[in-house]
Amino acid sequence: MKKREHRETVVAYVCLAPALILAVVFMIVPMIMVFYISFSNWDFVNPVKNFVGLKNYVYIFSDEKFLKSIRNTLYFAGVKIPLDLVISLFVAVLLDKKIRMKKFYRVSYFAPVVTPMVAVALIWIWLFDPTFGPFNQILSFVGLKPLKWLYDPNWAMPSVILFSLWKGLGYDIIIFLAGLQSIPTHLIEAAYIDGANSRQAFFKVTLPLLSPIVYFVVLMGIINSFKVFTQISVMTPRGGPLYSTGVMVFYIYQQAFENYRMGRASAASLVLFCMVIALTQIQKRLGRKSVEYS
Amino acid sequence: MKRFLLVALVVFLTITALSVEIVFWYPLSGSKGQVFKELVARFEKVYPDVKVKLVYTGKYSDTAQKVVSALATKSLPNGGIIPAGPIFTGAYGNYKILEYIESDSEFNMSDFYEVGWDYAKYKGKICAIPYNISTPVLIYNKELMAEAGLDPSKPPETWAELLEYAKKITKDLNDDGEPDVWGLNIKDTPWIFKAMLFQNDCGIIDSNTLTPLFDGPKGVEAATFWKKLVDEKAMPVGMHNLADKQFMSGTLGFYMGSSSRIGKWSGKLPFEVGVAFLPKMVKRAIPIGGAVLVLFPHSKAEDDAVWKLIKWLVSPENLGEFCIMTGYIPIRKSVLEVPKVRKFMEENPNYRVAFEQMKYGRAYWHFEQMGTMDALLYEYLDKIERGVLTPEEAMKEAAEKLRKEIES
Amino acid sequence: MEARKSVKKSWYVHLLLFTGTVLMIFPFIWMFLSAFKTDLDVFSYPPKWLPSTWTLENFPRVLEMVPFVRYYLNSIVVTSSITFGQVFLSILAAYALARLHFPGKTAVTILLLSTMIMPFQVTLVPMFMIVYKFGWIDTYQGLIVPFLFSGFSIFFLRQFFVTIPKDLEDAAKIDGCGYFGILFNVIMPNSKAPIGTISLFVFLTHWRSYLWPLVVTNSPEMRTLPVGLKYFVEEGGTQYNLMMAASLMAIIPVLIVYIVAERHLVKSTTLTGLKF
Repeated sequence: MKKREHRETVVAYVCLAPALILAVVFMIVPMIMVFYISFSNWDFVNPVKNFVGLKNYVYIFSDEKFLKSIRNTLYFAGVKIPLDLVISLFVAVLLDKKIRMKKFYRVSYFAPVVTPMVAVALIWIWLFDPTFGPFNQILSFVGLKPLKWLYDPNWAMPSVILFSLWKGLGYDIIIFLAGLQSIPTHLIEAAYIDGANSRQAFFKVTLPLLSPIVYFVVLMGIINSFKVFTQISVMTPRGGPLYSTGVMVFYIYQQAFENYRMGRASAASLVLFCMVIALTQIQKRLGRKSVEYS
Repeated sequence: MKRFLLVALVVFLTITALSVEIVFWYPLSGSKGQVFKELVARFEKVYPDVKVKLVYTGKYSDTAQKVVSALATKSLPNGGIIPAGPIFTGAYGNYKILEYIESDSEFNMSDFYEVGWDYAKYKGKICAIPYNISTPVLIYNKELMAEAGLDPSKPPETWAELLEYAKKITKDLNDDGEPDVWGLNIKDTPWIFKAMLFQNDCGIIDSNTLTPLFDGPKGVEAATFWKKLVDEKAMPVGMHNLADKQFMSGTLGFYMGSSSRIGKWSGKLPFEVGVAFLPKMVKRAIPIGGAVLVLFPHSKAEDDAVWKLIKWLVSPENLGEFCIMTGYIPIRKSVLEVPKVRKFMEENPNYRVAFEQMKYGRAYWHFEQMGTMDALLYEYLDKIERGVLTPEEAMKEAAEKLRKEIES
Repeated sequence: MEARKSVKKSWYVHLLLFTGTVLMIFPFIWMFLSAFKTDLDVFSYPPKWLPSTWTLENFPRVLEMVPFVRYYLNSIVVTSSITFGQVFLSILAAYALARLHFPGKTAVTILLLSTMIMPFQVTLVPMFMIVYKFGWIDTYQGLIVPFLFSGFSIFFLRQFFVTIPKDLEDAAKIDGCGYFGILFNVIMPNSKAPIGTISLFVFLTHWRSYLWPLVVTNSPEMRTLPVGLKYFVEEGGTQYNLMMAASLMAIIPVLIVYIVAERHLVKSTTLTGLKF
């Protein structure tokens, strides 16, 4: 019996070894390093890393661009997540009805989700073009003043958000649809029998039952919003007019791979990490409450 | 016969035994890359003892990143065409190329424009040789000029004239309050702004002490003029990325940007394209830009081979050929005397302008924070255009930030 | 009465859904039409919606400007290797965590779980340094190896492996199966669906991956499709019709795969419950 246990331990560690080694080399060690580098003035080429104390942190917190990147990230998350939530839930409810052409609708809403981000961002750069883009043509056709979209500091972020909504909506629709389909029909029927109209049935029965899914969508939304980078880098290569679309990951990228300021980049990374953790903790608290309530 | 074969074999073997292979990086793609490859192939025929392994390294910023990685891993090539080359040679104490320049009696330094040597210096000492150099030029749409009642054969001579002409061209076609045809747009804003500074007799940076000089009254004057360009609707606010598209579509009167556009556009657009010197402020001055030939020391034999290649590439005939085929600006005066080049300039008056403009070239020595400076100028010109800061505040702040970056 | 109401209702549902569909599909239609426009059409003002003459010229022009086929091959090589390697290593690790008893299990679990809370963007800089210390910048190893481990894949598979009845395992043991025999003959055949799901998920995640290939490659021969596309815009993409031809070439294969495998894909998204 002892021998067998011994063998089982060996087998287990043989199975785990590759994963563990990779996890340590590419995850755990970098986690420790990012902390360490954030206190150094390493410039990548020079092998010397001098300890500079809190200098990098002092720098980024007095850097107008970094503070702006925090604001921009919060702006992106704060506008995109609620809009995404409302629209995707609405479409999912419509798609949940017994209608024809369901598959066609589902395919078309989900299509942007599967397409490569860079490729579709290129299309949208043209759609947004102030002179040659169809969006402005449509605006002036219906008698509205054309916009400068990605070239206007007030509109650059909303433009990127609009694109991101289009890109990601389908995903949340599918998640909500799965959630809606798992709600037992008799519960909703019971509400109707009790005299509720469809709106009341939705808000009193369906929505509370969906709350774990809503919680999940919001949580993923937060985490993903804080990591947003690709569309920013492709659509507004310098972080937009007046840095109006420079988000945190974009700032980190610039410091590390354009300015070779590894220390500043690492300090900013740690700030990003703390913010994600803090927000998910708050979200967990709130989420637990609403789930219990249902 | 047998004897001849034997001799041939011996010669062949000696050549192979003595031949050196060098690795050479270049950042030219498409037809320009092709031209360069053919030149090097010809070099190899002339010097069968040198084998050149050419490696295409992507565009300028990729190449610079690759050099940074190579510096850190000590895996540098023997040489290459490298953007910001002096930062990767002189800054690491590598002035090897200067030894060759000085010891090679065949090499005529004074035939090069002085500005080219300035561009190849780090801390005042030559550590590269200028090669694929561009200058900014003024490219204009002759039809739009004529439509605005201007004489297409008389492009603006001064910035004040440019402002006046551009204002006449700017037009709102659909009455939505937003011009659809613009007088002027500038592709690379820091570059053209530096031209303005030079032209206004204002230094950009003191090469010896690395003190920014553009926050003085002359710099502020240039920045104020810049603001005037957008205020008076000669130039759109912020939309500089779109300059190429606007020009190609015929909705832009004056385009300011790299001379590399001349070949791309002359005779290839549905309207007639003209090219002129950049307008002047108090005097003519042109900041040059581009990449330089560098040598990274390895063994004596390899370094000698790299020098052979570099010297061959910048000989007036070969350099002339390279410039004709790619549209880069010759950095040697005698190139303009090469018959082929003269003929080319006669047939392509648009190029003539760019080639002749070189005599007004200006440059500062390379320094590490050059990229940071350009990024700052870009950022603060954006702020000036949008009225976030006054030209004076913007210049003060940009210079202050640059000073801090240089110190830290 | 009831029937009429539902007809009326479904009419407005369709109207809403269809409007939405038009908005969702419009960019694709625009891309498709524009990929066949001539240079003149692209820069006509006001914009033209339909090409005045349909041209196929744009595609060879894109191929001439950038090594598109190479980008494609790189993406296929990198993504397939990551998918295969990551799923295989995750199966092994998940098997150990789900079915075997060994000292230190809790510690290992916590260690692996902790990797899941760190967004990759945070450790970007040190990860780059490590890959660079290995001399893997601008190589396939650099693109592949760091992603052979994924805490998420391991725990996803573990959840399924735990649910397989112990009886099956015992029966196999009587037949003389060892630990790996059980894994290959019992666990894996009974987990085809989750293994397929996670494979598809990993493939899609890395097919579109952008930030890491952007920092870790610097020669054009090593670029993957998303990075190659981005550089296409910077180097020569002043012309919209060429940009659209390039996007079309990048999107079409993915869209075809998606439409064919739609059901599986949707299922796997809901199952994995993660954005990609």
